Amino acid sequence: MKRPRLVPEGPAAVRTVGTATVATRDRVMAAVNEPLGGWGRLPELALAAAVGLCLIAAGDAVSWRGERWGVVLFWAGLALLLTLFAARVLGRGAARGERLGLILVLGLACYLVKVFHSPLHVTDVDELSHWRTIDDILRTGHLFHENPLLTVSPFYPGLETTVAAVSRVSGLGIFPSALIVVGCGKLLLLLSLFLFFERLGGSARAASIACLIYTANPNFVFFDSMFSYESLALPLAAMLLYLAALVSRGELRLRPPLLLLFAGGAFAVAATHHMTSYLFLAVLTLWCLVAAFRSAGSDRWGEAKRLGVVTLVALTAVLAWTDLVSGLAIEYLQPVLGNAVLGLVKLALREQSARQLFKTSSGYTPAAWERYAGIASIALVLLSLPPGLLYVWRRCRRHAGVLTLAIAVLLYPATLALRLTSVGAETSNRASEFLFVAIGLVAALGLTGFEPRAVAWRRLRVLLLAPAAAVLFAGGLIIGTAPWARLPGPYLVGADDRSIDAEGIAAADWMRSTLGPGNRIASDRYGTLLMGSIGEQRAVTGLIDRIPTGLVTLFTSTEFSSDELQTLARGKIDYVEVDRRLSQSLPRGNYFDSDVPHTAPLDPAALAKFDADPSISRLYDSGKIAVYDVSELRYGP
Amino acid sequence: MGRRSRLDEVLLAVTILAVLCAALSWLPVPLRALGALPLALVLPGYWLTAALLPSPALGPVSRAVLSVGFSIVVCVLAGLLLNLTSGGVSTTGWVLALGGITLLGSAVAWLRGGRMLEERPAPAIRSRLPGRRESTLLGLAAVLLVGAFGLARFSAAQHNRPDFTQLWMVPDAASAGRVIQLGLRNQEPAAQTFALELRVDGDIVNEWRPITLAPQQTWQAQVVAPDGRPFAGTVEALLYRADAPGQVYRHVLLRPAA
Repeated sequence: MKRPRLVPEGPAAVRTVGTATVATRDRVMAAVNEPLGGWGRLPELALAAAVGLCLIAAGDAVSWRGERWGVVLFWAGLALLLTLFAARVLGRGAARGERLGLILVLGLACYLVKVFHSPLHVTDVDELSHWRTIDDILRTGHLFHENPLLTVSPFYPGLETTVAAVSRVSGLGIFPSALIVVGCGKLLLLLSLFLFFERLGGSARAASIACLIYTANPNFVFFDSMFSYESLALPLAAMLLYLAALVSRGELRLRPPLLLLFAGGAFAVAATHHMTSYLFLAVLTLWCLVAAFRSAGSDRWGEAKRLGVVTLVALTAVLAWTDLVSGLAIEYLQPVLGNAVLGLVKLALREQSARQLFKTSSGYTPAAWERYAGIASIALVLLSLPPGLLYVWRRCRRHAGVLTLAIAVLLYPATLALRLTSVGAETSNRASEFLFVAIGLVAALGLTGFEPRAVAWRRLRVLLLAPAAAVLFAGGLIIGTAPWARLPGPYLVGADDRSIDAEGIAAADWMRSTLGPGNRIASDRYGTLLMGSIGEQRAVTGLIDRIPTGLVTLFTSTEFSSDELQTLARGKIDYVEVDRRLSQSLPRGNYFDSDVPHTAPLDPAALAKFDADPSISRLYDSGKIAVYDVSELRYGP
Repeated sequence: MGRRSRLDEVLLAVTILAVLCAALSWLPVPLRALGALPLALVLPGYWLTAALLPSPALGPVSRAVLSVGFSIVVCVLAGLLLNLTSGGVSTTGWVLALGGITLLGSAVAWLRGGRMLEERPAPAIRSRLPGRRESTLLGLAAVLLVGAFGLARFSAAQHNRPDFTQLWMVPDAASAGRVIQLGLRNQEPAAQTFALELRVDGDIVNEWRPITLAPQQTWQAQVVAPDGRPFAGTVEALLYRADAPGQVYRHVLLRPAA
């Protein structure tokens, strides 16, 4: 029997493992858990990261004052952080422990960019939707309440129960508890991915480069750092993938205790986020099939069988949860994904024109350099894939795990095509945090597999690649997060978290404390979010109450016609909240959910009509925001 | 007794301390949080994997990953189970569930006595401890990080400061339109002096002046209809600021039911 190499340097080494006895496998395992090594340059780079974060915090502070040069500090901080970390990770000098440390510090730094952005309370659309779910859980002590802001959220309560556990046992409030849980999730994600990539790629260097590339996915800094279910489900799924990698290679034996743990983990992923659980299952299934049908391999059936068992366990868990919650997620996801595919088909058939990239529905276009950075980022990803795929084909095509990720990588160009459709752009964006797991490893294998022999050339390559990594990261951030949402600042109309301010929060707070929870109230997109979360109201939404266009015209029409009265009746609307600032400028994104494109700000007369009607009472006035009682109008004389 | 046993002894002590901190709700929050956080995010997963996966093949990094990951899994599953109980997801329920699972896991792991951590020679561990240079640099990084966080919080708090006044008027639901509640809250950065007029069909029926409110201070009044019958006309409340007495600052109104 061929003696296995004790320090695997590439996937080729893994091939020998399958034939090894358990004792030999354990020896190999011990070797893969190679000494962590010294601190290397980690302390210096941690200091550099702290300096970068100081610049970002200063950029945020400047931006709060409404000054535009805060952006310069923000990008300078990120550039410092990324370039130095990339140079060290891409080079050959760092030991395993240092690489682990670098990846953890980088992950923590990226998470702190989001924390510095909103250090006092949750501000994002998704965060406020989940806030309602946890608020209901802590208020009533039970799960599965109706959430008018995000109907599926209460049926995927994994994040909320974890935050509730932390809050209850520690005595901390919801917000700090959420920060701690999501932060732990972020570190868990990167550590799990590192170990997973290390098992598949066979070296700590490839693993750390893969993690570095993963952090450049458009949703890493902001979206996956939010108080939102994917932020926790993704780390759990990554941890289970790592366990599956250990099982697939026979490094952990399939015994009932392991299966019990795996089943629990899969059930927790299924109960935390629908899409993550489905994609996790899809990856396991593909991996299992690849293991069974790859061209050769002495332990082909053994690996396929082991993976088959864990896939079956995951399938049972996901199906059980989906059945428990009555397939709500399918109902929720079907229109999103269906419309994305339909949009793509229509585009191919030339039944609709391509969406103009980097332009919002209200016509907002970011600066030219941002558009170029976004395009450069995508180009860098596309350029990094052919060498990686070539390496996989030459060296790892018998390695089921690597081959699975190489197949998954091929989906990336398809998701780019979705960006050309107006309905598919969001789907494409949301796919990136999953696809970058595959992109990270394949690109890293390409980078480590084809290296110049001469030291001088290798150094030159690192000098070129480090800024390229910074561009990759910056471009990803630009693609994934709207310009107005990257830095905090004064109120803006229809601009995600920039539309959440103290006056809106105070109105929601007043509504809850004075009129009590559960009143049916209609508002613009951000008023709806605040009333539905902090205000604990039954916010009327176009989607759930099936009045998407009616709700928009309720606020855009200058008079009460039969259509508006019908909307009030169909939505059973008792209260309306009006933010007069909507008439001051066009929205950066949308005024309302299910909004229509606007060419001019809302007509002030459309908002003033609530004051003019003789059957409407104005109950609340804080200057910019007013709350009206429209129940008389709804019920009629 | 090997290293593993010493580590487990320490962790067992930490576990008991964490359960105590979580159970003693009267402890100051920072102290309780410090002691009890591992009970939610580290210890259940650590002991569960120690009990069920005592393989020496898993190194310390893998152990750390599985400890945090499976602690979160335990929180998710325990939450679902607690929901089925009458007490629901209460503090007591969490302490019992997480404490129970952790202590049970530690007992099983202890009894199984498997070697969880790879034996390493002591010098290897000592060599990983930061030296003076590393400690200085990491300490400096930590100081900068705390400063950056402080700056982020300070600037957010400064600019999120409210600068408006809330005025409201709602009918008292139990009085069938005979009583209305008036309220005023100063959310401006400084103390303000106001005057408030109450009009019925344009006629002033009541006035409050001056109303001086400190920041965040609330003023409330209950107004009963003069003749004991429900307010018949349009009731308006007009708020003026002392520094601009001729200009209506806030305006709310109740229209009579049809």
